[in-house]
Order: sequence, then structure tokens, then C-alpha cells
Amino acid sequence: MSPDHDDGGGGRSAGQRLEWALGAAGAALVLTLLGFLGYQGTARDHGPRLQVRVVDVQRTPAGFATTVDVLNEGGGTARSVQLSGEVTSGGTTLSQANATVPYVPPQSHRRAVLVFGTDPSRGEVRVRAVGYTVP
Amino acid sequence: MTQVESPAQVLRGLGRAFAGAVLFALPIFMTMEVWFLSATIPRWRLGLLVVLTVVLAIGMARYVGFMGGQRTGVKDAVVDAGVALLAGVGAATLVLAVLAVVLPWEGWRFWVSVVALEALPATLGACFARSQLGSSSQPGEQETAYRREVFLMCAGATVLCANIAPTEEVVLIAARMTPLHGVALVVLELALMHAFVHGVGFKGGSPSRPGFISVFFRFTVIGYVVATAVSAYLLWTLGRYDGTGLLPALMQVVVLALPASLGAAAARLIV
Repeated sequence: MSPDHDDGGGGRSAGQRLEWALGAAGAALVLTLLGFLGYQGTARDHGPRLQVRVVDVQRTPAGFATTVDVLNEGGGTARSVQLSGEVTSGGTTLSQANATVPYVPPQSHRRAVLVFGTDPSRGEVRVRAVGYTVP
Repeated sequence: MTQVESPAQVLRGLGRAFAGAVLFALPIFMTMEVWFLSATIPRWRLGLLVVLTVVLAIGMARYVGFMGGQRTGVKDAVVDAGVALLAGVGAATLVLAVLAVVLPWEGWRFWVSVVALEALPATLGACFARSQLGSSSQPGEQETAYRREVFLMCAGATVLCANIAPTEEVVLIAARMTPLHGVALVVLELALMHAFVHGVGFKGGSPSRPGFISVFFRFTVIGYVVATAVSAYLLWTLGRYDGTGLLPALMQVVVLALPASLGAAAARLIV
């Protein structure tokens, strides 16, 4: 490095001014990151809040592959989310299926597929998260 | 430019590159998540990663320099990068084949995917090992020297980061941490990095020691931003943001920035 280093402000080459400008921009980015995390740390509500909805049904050789979207609207991650679904018609259960999602971070969604033995359109399909662990 | 190398020297260089590739990429060779991830991440992201691997390898050859002194031409850099890539891909294939993870003749798609993902740290490891061969640093003018420092930090961040990025632990640790843990981690990363950068000093530099604030803004902060960008890019490549909110995504970046920032700061120790 060149010998003309100092901690003060003026009297530098264009290259050095650019280095300082980059440093200042970088510092601004880091401060923004710290500010955001600090703000989230105080404003955030804790614990996962899960919501499951069916987005698609496909007929496959294994059965009726029902894609569900697991949304976590809460402030904490849910791990090992167990999904349980059933197709019911007139109070009787026609078919049951389960699936496990490894984790759903807060304000995020993950997809899973439950495979039913009967066509969900023949009755009412209900899928819900029946359990999870908190990391 | 006109330096002639004997075949023995070239082979020694290749062997050294191979050893460097194995040494720097062994953690990722022995990580299970890579097998799954390499098969599932979108092909174009994997392709982009390979392109950037080549760019980084050429940059390493150009800024750090390899065999026999003053070989800094673009053509030489490309040749050196090619040798590093060969060593990286060869090391990945050999180790993965011996570990029975991939067998190149059955399922070439899987083999190509896994090696494409693991070529990044392996190739950079080869570059780092090869840089030890020749007289490396060309002092040059100040602007080049600064660019070289920043590039080195980027390469160092990539090597360490690429070894840890595919692990599930990054996601799990980020999930366990609260945002305030994140704030503490950012401060810790900056402090560790600055200790490295300031403590190690400047190899091949001037005898005058630059001041604390000067080093902090011009090297530590820039290095930290580069390291964070590397970790953010790798997480994106691995699809860790898909369907994920802003806060958990940022927390993962901050977690992965720990190895990235240490790698960035320590790269100057290695070369």
C-alpha cells in the first residue's frame, strides 16, 4: 500500500477518495442491516401461526396428489410440521393422508403434497397442521 | 512472460493444485445436503455458478499470479485458471467416486450436478495452493493493489462460505436466533474481521501502518460487504430464499457471513 496513509480527511488521490466513498457506502449498508434487525428484534411477535390451503389436485398412479401451501404468518419458525388431511362426504371419511414439512420460517410458505385414495372433488377436503416443534 | 517451464514443473503445479482442491473442498465433498441440493436447484442457477467459478479462477490467476513470476497476461491467466478448474473438477470426481457418492458411468446427470456445485471451493482451493508456487504478489500501483486486496477477500469468503452454505445447519441456526442475536452476530463478525485485517497487517505493503479508522472503512467494512454479498449469492443459488420472508432470509445471510467474513479476512494470510 502507498505510504501516504492517514486518518484525516483531505489531500488524497482520486483512488483513495474512491476507497473511502466505497467504505462509507458499505458502512451505510451495514448500519441499515443492523437497524432492520434491531427494529425486528423489538417489533416482532413470537411463535409460529400456520395456515394450510389446497392449491392443486392431480390424478397420479399413486392416487390424487393434492398440493397444499403451508403459510406461517407468525414470528417464529415451525419445524417438522405434520400435516393431516382427509376427504369427507356427508360426515364419513373417504380417505386420509399425511405429510411432513421440514420447516416453515416466519412470514414464509412451503409446499407439500398429500396423496389421497379418493378424488377430493367427490367430497370435502380438509388439511391442517396437527403438530410441529419449535427450534 | 517468456519463462519456460519444464514438464516436471507443470506436473508439480498440477499436483499441488489437486492437493489444494482436496484440502479446501473436503468439507463439502463430505456433506450430504449437496447431493440433494445439486439435483434440485434450477439448472440456470447452477450454470451461473459454474460461470462465476471460471471468472473467479481467472481473477485469481490474474491478481494473485501463479507459476514462475510475472505471468500476468490474460492468456496466461486463462491457462492457469484452466489448470485450476481441471484440478478442482478432477479432485471432486475422484474423491466422490472413491466415497461411492457418484459413479461417473451411472447417472452422469447427477455426477455433473454434484461436481458443478462442488467445483467452486475445489477450484478456488487449487488456485490458493498454486499461488504458493510462484513469486506471487506484484506490488504494482496502489489502485491495482487495492483491487487485488478486495478480490482476494472475495475469493477467501467464497472458499469458506461454499463449504458451509449447503448445510441445513445454516437454516436451523438462523431459525433459532432472534433478530437481536443477529445484531450481536454482525458486531462479532465485524470485530473478528477487523482483528484479522488489522492484526495481520499488509503483506508486501509499506512499512507505515495505516490507522485504525482508515483500515476499518477501507478494508474491514468493504470486506464485510463483499463477504455478505457472497453468502447472499450462494444462499440464493441454493434456493434458500424460495418462499421465504425477508427476515428469515436476512438471518441466514448473517449466519453464513460468519465463515464468509473470516474467510475474507484470512485469505490474505494464505496468499
